[in-house]
Amino acid sequence: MIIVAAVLFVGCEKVVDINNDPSKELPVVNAIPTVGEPLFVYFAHTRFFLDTNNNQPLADASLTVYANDVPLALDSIVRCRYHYAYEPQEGDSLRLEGITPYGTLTARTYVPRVPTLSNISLLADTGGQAFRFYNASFAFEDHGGEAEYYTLVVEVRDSGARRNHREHRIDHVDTTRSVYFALTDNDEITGDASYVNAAFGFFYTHNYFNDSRIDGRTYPVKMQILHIIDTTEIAPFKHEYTVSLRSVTPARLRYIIDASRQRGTSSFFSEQGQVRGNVNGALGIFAGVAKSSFSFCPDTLGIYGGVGAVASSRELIERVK
Amino acid sequence: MLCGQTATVSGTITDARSGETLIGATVVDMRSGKGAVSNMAGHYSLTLPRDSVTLRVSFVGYEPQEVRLLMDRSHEVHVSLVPSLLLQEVTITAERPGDLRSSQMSAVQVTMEKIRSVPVLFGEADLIKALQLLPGVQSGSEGGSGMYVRGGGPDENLFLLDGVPLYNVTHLGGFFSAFNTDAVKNVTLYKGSFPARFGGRLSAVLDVTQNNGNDKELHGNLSVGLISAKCNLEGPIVRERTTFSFSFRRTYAELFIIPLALSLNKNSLAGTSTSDGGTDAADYDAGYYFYDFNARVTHKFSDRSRLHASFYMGDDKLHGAIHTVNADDEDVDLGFSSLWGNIVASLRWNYAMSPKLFLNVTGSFSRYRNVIVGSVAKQPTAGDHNASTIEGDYTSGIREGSLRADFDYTPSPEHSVRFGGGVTRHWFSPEVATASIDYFDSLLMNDTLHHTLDIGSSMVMANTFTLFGEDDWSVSDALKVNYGLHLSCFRLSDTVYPSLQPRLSARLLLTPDLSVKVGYAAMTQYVHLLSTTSVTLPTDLWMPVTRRVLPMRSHQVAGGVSYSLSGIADFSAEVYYKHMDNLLEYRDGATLLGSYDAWENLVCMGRGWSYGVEILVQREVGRLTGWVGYTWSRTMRLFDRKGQELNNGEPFPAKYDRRHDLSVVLNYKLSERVDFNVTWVYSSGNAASLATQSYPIAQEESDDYDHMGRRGAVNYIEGRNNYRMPDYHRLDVGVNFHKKFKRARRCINVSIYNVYNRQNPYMLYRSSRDTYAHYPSALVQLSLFPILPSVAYTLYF
Repeated sequence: MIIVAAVLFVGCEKVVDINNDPSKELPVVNAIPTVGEPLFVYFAHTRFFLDTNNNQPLADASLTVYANDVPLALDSIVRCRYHYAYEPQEGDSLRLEGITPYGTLTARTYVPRVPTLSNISLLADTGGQAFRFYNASFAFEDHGGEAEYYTLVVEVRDSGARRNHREHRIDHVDTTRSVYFALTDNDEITGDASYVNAAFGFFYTHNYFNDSRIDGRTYPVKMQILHIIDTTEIAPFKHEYTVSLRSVTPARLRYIIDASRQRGTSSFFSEQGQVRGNVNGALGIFAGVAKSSFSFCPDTLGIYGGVGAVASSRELIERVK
Repeated sequence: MLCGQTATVSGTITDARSGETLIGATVVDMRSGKGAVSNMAGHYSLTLPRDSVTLRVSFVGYEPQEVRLLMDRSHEVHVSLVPSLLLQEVTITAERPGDLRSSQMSAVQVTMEKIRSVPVLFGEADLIKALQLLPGVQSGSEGGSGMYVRGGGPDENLFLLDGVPLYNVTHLGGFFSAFNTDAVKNVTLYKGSFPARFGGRLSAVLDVTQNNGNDKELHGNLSVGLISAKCNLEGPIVRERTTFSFSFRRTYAELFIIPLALSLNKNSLAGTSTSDGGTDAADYDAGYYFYDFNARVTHKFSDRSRLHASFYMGDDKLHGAIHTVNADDEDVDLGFSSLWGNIVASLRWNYAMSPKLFLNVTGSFSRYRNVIVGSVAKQPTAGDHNASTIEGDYTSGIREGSLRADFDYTPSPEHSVRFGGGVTRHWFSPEVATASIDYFDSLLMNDTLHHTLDIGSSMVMANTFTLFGEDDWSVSDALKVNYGLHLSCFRLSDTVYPSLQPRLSARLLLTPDLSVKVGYAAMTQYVHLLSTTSVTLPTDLWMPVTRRVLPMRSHQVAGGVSYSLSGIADFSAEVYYKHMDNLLEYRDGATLLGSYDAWENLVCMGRGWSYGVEILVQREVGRLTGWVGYTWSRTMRLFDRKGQELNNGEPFPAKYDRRHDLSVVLNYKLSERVDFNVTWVYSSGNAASLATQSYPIAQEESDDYDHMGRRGAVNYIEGRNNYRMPDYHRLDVGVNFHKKFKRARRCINVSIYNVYNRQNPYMLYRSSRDTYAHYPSALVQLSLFPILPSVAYTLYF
């Protein structure tokens, strides 16, 4: 019986032979025109999932991008990236046309308006020697267009290096329902494990999106941040939280949701989802983005400052990009 | 009671040895050819012209009896049949199967002898695994006890234990069914053309009846298998008046499997280095078991009145605890337990109100619940002053109580009517999760943190009302029609879903050995099982329909032909087409595990259709018995409603769409002491979604890396279930050694599962060489069961 049990626990695994079928390759276009940032377009074809080589540029292919119906000058091509001498601005209308061995492709998008943030504050709440709650809040104005959607990205940085970030989607703000999220945030961070707790912190919040409106188009966002303080003997580590609110197109929001689902739940327990793009004749996404952000360093607010230590709105607003 | 020129003969058909009532026994008037079939209480009623008649009473496995009567008035005739095995020097003759003459189609009555004759996994005879060998019934995955009937999902099957729905019918993640074969007397599986008395599920009805118990003397058996032991005891409390039947089964595999598993994993579990450079030994405690307890007490007030009390209780429990010291020399306790299972209880009263009218009143209760508890506790040590405890629990379940009455009425030789109704009260506890965090700092007495988070839904209550009526009408000697109507109404808060479900089946007897049948059934289902895997997990949720999630409905038509080659074999072939609406599937990427979104947001509704051909050849007499079943089928899904599209709104094959499914089951009786069993199964591979192409994810400048610091990739899936796993086939063999003692007999069963060690696919996954690799390096197939010998010993007394 023990032998049988051992066999069962070992299980049986074998590699399944599966070969690439080049006829299943498709062209890929990825571009996120962002206000104030140089535009580049990733232009390649898909690769067989067991192929460990990097994606290769498309041979015998051409790509043209139009801003407000004016073709953009191609600045350079670095591997699969087509760089253009152009920085998108609010309200720009963008169009993309391409010719590949797989056929022609087209896509359209626009550049959303930059969200306006106000009333930013950070309030130290209860805490202890090893942790501290902060109540962060700000308000932003919805521009009211039907095609404006937002994502909230919170990043944690230390010494300028990216350690971790979390992205949360907000439905179109015309809705007034609460958006709940509860992050456990216990993923490991690659790198020096000694600083994991220090750099981490996690968001544990309710009513991140408040039900009530301040006025017709201004919405308060409240977050409660549990910041885990580094109590090791290693020198205290400075880290910085960056909160970024981004205005995105519906296609971009759908893409983010699809990709997040596919990445986050590609497990035995769920059906891996398809990621829907908006490029006719190709896979990928062509969608504009505009963002506002602010940063704060919890450590500088005074760990032992007690309940009520406040970072002034003015201090934080000055950091708003 | 006389009615014109007819008189009625009625009574009960029982086993002469045990007094057990026989379900589905036939009573036929030899002259007119008119007949009746005993109902679930073993009761029959046959109205015949006033004349002298000869009744032939027969049942498979029993010696037929003939009764001569002068039908000058109504008679009560109770018949006890003698099992064929008890008769010496008897040549077993083939009874023309009731299936050939019955108007019912797409139904299979399976004897426990057949089920026990199938080679077994781990020495444990399994009712559902035996049914999976029938055409039209497929297993979900290797070794699983899920049933996929004619393209329907496992939640579309109504499992009735003594007439009461059983919600969780599996143990050990689905590898064993919850039905203890020792406690079961009769099993009937309906795959289509459902009689009007059944409702509530789309695809199948499995009607399981427990033993009443021997009314003459005490009997029982003890059985020991590879992972479980079971016992059954039955006998009279008051001879020929009150009987009992108790069965108990429990696994004991944890006695050796868990210690072995812990031993194999000891290094990985206890490999944490301490500050002094050593490795701590950790304390482990873990276990898993399941058990079933079946009980039934029957009291016979008179030959016309019986009271049955039935009870079933079965649970699975998985638990584990680890006490260890972490890298910071802190004591850490990890605990986990999961308990899930059913309780079913019923009280049934059978009463023959008159020779033509039989009453059946049932009150019942059924409960399924699942509780998962996990905790992590860190204790302060000499060098530390912080303590913390994180606990979480998750509860879900369903309860229901019902009261119903149904009648069998035989007004004339041509009609056999059943009618009745009932009401069921449901209590759904969808999912309630509680998480709590306690943090205490002994240096700072006020420095405590306590937070509790309750997530989930509150209890949902609903009612179902049902009415039904059906008539089995012998239009002529050749033509028999069963028509009926099932009316149900589901009320949930202010939402009401009525449903009118017509049923029809007809048989045309072309020759005494050849019949043609057709059938139609509309079905409605008001509960959904939310399950994310092919494996039965305790996290599977039963949920009611809501305003947004509509009842599932199906329409099925079937046609078939049955032919009996007397004394040799019986042939049957059926074709079917089933259309299903409001089916549920998880949205892409959605999973119930770790997700507390409103469940309605995780699913979308769509359609499905299934069609196929089923062929069954079976032989029930002689030394060589068994059957060959073959199914050709196709099952598709289409989710194209706005906002609920799957696969871009295009049709896709269902997960268990299999083109070919073949089962060969043979039993050869070498002598009274030895018999051999062989089973070979073959089926087309399951469908799975596999992305063979990928491309980089489009990210904004500050999103270049995912939370693991890696660039992401998008997997391009051509379509849902676009890939076919390798075909499945397996050979099992078994041999039974019987020996009789003075007051007992024993059977030693030796079985070998998967004789030629076929590595059948259980699941596929993309494997990477290391944790941080960007891309998979291989497609790996996981197989569960290699060649597995087992032995079981059973002592009957």
